[in-house]
Amino acid sequence: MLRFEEVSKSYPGGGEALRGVSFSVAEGELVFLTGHSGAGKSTVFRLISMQERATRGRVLFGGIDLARAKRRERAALRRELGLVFQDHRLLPEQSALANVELPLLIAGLPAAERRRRARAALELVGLGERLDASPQRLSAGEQQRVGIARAIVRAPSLLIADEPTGNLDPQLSFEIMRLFASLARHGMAVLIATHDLGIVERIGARTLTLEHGRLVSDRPAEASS
Amino acid sequence: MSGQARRKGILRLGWERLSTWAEAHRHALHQSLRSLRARPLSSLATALVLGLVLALPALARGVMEGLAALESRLEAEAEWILFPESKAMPDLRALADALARDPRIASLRIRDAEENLATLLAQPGFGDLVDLLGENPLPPILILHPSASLAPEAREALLRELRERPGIALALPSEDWRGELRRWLDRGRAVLMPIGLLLALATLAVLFNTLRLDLLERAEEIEVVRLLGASDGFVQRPFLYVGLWLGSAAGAVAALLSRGVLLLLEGSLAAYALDGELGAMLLAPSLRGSMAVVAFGAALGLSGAWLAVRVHLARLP
Repeated sequence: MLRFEEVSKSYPGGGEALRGVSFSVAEGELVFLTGHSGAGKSTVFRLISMQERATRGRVLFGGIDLARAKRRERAALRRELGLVFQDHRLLPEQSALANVELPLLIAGLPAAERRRRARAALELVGLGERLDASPQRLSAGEQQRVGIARAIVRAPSLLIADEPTGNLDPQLSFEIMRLFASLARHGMAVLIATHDLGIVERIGARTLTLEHGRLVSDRPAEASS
Repeated sequence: MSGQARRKGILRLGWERLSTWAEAHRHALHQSLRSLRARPLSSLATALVLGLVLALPALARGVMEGLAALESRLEAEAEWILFPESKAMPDLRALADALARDPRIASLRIRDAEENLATLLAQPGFGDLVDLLGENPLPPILILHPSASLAPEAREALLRELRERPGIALALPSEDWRGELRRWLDRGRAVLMPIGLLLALATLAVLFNTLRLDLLERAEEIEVVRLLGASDGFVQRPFLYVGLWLGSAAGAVAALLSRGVLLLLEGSLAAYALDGELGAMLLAPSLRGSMAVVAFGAALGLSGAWLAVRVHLARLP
C-alpha cells in the first residue's frame, strides 16, 4: 500500500530531515512511527500527504510514485488518504458535522448519504451529541476527535495521523488507538506518528523508530496485538 | 443484463452525476454568499466602485446606441427639401405633379408657408419672430422622399437633376448632416473603444485584487480542502461565484447610474432636440442594452475571479 524507498529529504540551508529511509505499510496493517521531536516524523507525514517531495528516493502509494503524480492524479490519490493533523485543521466557520462531511462532499456523495456517514463517524469518536457545535466551541480534545472522524469518514485505503492523541486524556487516547486498530483489522493501512511510547506499548503494533532522520528500528507487532 | 436494466443503470448513473454536480454548485453558491455576507460593507463598496468605473462606458454606450438608432432611422427616411423659385401655389402644384410622375421619387408633399412658420415658432426662442418681422417670411416648400431602393449613385444623379431643373431654386438633402452625424459616430466609437477597454481592465484589476485578498485570507482553508483531495475546480468554484455576484452587481449599478444620468440630461437635451422622437431615442437606452452592461460586468467578474484563483493555485507548492 505504502512504500518508502531510500527516501531522503533536505531543505535549503537546513540540513537533512530524512536520510535514506525505507519501509512499507501493507493493507490492514497498523504501524506506529515514533521518535523525538525533529526526528523526521512530520516530514514523513508531509511526504505522504504530498505537501512536499522527496529530495532522493521514492515514495509509492498504491504503486504510484508520488513525486511523479500529476496535479489531477494527486487530488485523486489524496481522496484515498485519511489525514489526521496534529493541529486539527478544522474549518472554523463550519459545524463539526459539516467538517466531517467535507471529504464526502469532495468525493461527490449525495447530501443524505454524507450526513448519515458523517453522523456515524462522529458517533464513533464519541461526539454524537456535538454535531452542530463549531470548532471554537469544542475543546482541543474534541477538535482532535472531529479531525479523526473527518479522516476515517471516507474509509480511506491509508490513514496517516500525526500525533492524533496529543490532546486527549490517557483513557480516550487508548480508545482512539483501539479504533485505529479496529480499522486496520478491516483492511485499512494505518500509520500513526506519536511520541507516546506508553500507548505504543499497550497497543503492541509494529513500530518504526526515527532518530535524526534515520530509521533506526523496525520492531514487529507483538503476537497479542 | 437485459436492455431495460442497462438503460435503468445508465439513467441512474446519469442522475447521480447530475445530483453530484448540482450539489457541488449548491455548496459553492452557499460558500460564496457566506463569504459576501461575512463582509457586507466591503462587498457593497467593491460593487459600487466597480459600478462607477463601468458607468462611464455604459453611459457612452447608451448614447451611442441612441445615435446609431437615430442614424438608421434617418437612413431609412431620407428627406429632401425643395425651395421653388415661385411662391405661387399653382406653380408649386404643377411642379409637384410633374415630379410625382418620376418613379425614382417615392412620395412628396407640399408644406405651405403657414405650416412652415408654425413649425419654426414651435422651436424655443422663435416665439417673437412674427412680431419682429410683421409678416411670414417663409416660402412654401416641397418635401420629397426618394425611393429607398435607389443606389447612392442614382440618388446623387436625381439630386443633380433636381438642382438643375427650372422652377427649383434650391434642393437640400438631409444626407449632408447625416454624413456629419455618421462621422461623429465613427469618431465616438474610435474613442470609446480604447477607453472602454481601459476601464474594463481597471475593473478586472480591482476584482482580481479583491479576490486575491479573499484567497489569502482563506489560504489555510484552501490548503485543508486540497489536502482532503479537492480538485482545482472544487477550490475555485466558490470564488468564481463571488466574482460573478460582484461583477453582476457592478454591472447593475453601472446600468442604473447611466440610466439616471440620461434621465437627468433629458430636460436640457429636450430644448435642442429637433423633435420629441430624437430626444426619446437618445435618452431611452434599451433594456437589452442595460442587460448587456450587467452581462458584461458578470463576465468581467468571472474572468477576474478565474485569474485570481489560477494565479493563487499556481503559486501553491
